[in-house]
Amino acid sequence: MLIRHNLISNQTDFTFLLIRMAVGIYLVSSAFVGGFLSIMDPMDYGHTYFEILTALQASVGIMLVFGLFVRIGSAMLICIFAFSFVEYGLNALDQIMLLGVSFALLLRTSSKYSVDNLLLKRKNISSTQKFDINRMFLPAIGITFGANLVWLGLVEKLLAPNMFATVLKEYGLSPVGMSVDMAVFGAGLVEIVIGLFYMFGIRMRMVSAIMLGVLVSTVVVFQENMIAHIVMFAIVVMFVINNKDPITGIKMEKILPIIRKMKNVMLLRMYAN
Amino acid sequence: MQISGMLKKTAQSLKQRVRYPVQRISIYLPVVTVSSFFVTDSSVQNAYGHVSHVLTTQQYATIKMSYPDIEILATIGTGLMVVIAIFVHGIRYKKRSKIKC
Repeated sequence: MLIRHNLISNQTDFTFLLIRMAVGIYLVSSAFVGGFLSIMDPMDYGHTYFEILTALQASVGIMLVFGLFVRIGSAMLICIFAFSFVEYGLNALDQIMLLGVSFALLLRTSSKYSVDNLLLKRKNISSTQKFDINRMFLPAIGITFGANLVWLGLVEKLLAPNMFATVLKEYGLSPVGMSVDMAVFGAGLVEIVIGLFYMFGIRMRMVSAIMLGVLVSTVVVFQENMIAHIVMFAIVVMFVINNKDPITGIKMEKILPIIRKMKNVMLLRMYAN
Repeated sequence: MQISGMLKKTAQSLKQRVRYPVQRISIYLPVVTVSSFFVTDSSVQNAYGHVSHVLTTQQYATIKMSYPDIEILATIGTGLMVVIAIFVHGIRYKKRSKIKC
């Protein structure tokens, strides 16, 4: 029992380190490129807040990488994200997973592999007997990551099919035997369904395994920038490693009867017609 | 001889560790996808994931103009889902803590 407890504790510490490093590297790279929470779109040098935003991102990134004042760093990241709404409007939701990660890092009470742990003996100030804040770590990331996928599925595919259809046509990516419209609809639907699985905590490890395959293939096929997706990779790997969170696991046995009932109703309706 | 023995041992220990189907899928899926793309040598040049980066600025702006309110609609949809998800997680949390008591 003790060994199992230690193993779980090590796993959560490791995933905490993984997610912290990923966000830290992303922020430092973004600052290095001169972007604002983006590796691909550099800001203009004449931007009013160019220096401030670059310095803020770099400092928060370094703090997270080394695990130094993680809570202050994550609070600063929330402020940066809030400012991105001023800059990008609703399009700032493209990076909503960063908000979830920063909330999760803010809530997490202890971590083994950090400078904080060496310098200060961090106390469990947030958790009470009634409410264990550590248990919110994975759901907070899962919900925002899922929301990110749902948002992208809606904005780029289902609500604006022309956008993705143009990409498919331009690069000849439409699957064989399927019309472009159908491919766009299918891709959007799959993205949204995966997002909903993350949001509701259903079959996290299985979904994360599929998502990992998708991410790896996009990096290989589309030659995407690896750093631009490093946070996604970290989140997905985190759920593959550490899915047995107390409140993220839904047993498939509970869902199967509902699916069976739905199937029976559909069959009955089919035969009735 | 020694190397082959070591390889066999490593393979055996890996087999013992990777017992569950989900673990196998999570290992095999990325490996198979990557290797298949390397073998078939299929890649799209100058394509950078996010749709706005794949299209030219002109193309992106033109398409965006034809869908004026999608951000608001998407925000409402995503927001609703987030609220429901938080509610579901809250109920599950309460149930769990009741069982523990």
